[in-house]
Amino acid sequence: MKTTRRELLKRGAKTGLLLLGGTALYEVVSGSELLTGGAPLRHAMAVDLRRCLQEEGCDRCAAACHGAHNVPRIADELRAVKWIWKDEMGRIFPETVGRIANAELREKKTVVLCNHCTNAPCVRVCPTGATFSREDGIVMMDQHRCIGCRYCMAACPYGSRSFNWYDPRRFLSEDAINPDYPTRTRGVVEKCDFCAERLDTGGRPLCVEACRAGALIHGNLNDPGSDLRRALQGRFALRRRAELDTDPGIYYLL
Amino acid sequence: MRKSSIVLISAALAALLASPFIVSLLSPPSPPPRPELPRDVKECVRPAAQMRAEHMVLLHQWRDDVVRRGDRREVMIGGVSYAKSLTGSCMKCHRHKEKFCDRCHGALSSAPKCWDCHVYRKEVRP
Ligand code: HEC
Ligand code: HEC
Ligand code: HEC
Repeated sequence: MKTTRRELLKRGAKTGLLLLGGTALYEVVSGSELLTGGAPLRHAMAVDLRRCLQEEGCDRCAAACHGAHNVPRIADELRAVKWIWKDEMGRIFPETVGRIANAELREKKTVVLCNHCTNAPCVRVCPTGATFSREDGIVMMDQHRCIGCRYCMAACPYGSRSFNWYDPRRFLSEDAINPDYPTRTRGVVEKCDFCAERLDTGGRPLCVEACRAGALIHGNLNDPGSDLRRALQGRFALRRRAELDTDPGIYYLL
Repeated sequence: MRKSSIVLISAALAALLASPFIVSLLSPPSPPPRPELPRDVKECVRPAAQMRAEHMVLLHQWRDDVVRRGDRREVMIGGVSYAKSLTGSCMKCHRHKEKFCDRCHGALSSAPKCWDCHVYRKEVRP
């Protein structure tokens, strides 16, 4: 059947409507109006920007995490391995802060880590099932299955994943290695696992515990009485690249 | 002349090819590996015969429980609770990797890659 001009226009109009009715281009979450429901447990975290942005130069969260998980310290920025680190607000939120905020706010730094998305693009592309979504919202990595293809790194919109270009043990001093957590090898990808080893045994993520400013709040997003939901209550929050519909689990409290 | 040299060369070749088998038939069988068993404890996770045959299956089960199913419940061995962990349990009783795991694997030319990531404590604290 030949597509007439009229039909094409009609179809075009429908697509336009879909775009309008689908995800918003920018999203601001109102903590008081969060939906409840879904899985009984959804691990998530809030970064209280009012507190975190004031702690210039602080990297206690990253130091605690990288120490416990045997993350090597590699100076070459292009080949570095990171689970949690600090970046400029303008780069974390390019489409909002980056475009409209003043230079001072744009250059202030706060923490970034794996967003533990509900619809994680890295999980969709992983050919071996090494990266998978847990029922409780954690995007987990099974190092035993990683073949180092790096599809996940290409898919992640947040750059939250690192590839091991070198044998990480070359960059870890022997007495600093934590023997209770395995290192990785050359040729595998790694990222934050939300401290699954601690959450599974009733603990809290290490970064949350290491933060002296109280800027990191972890909790069950689907439980209206959780610490996290109380922190979100009555405030607005941003999530990174929410327009992609990945449903990130890290909320940046304004 | 020509025929006999062909016979000689093929006989030498046959002897050369058969030599490894002849040597191994004549020499005494290599002793089975003798892993050093722990002295302060009596029981393993499963009976010894089963461990000898299937410890790799058990390790893979633990790995999948912990990493893929998030099931980190501890296991009881001889009344003591142990984590489902390579370094956190196997190596707590079998303290010397060289005198235990490596003795068997060495004799078998089997080299599991686990230790590229899992930290053998002695490497850290001698
Ligand atoms: C509670 C201490 C303990 C733990 C934990 C333990 N073992 Fe054992 N294991 C022993 C003891 C004791 C023996 C000897 C048992 C016997 O002779 O009846 C043994 C025997 C074995 C044997 C058979 C050796 C032989 O030649 O008979 C293997 C293989 C083995 N263990 C592997 C493992 C592995 C792999 C793990 C971790 C999944 C592990 N063990 C955890 C105490 C332990
Ligand atoms: C009694 C001898 C013996 C001892 C002791 C022993 N193993 Fe093994 N192991 C074997 C045999 C036999 C195999 C099978 C080798 C093969 O198929 O290549 C094996 C295979 C394995 C495999 C699978 C190999 C692979 O390539 O995937 C792992 C993992 C393993 N052993 C771990 C251990 C660990 C850890 C210890 C020490 C706690 C240990 N073994 C002690 C005999 C032993
Ligand atoms: C590329 C690195 C890597 C290699 C190689 C590797 N592992 Fe692991 N393994 C890990 C990581 C990371 C974890 C997760 C630890 C956690 O979440 O507590 C883990 C967890 C495990 C666990 C459960 C928890 C623990 O601490 O032991 C078992 C059992 C295990 N691995 C067995 C093995 C065996 C057997 C081998 C070798 C055949 C192996 N692994 C090889 C990285 C590795």
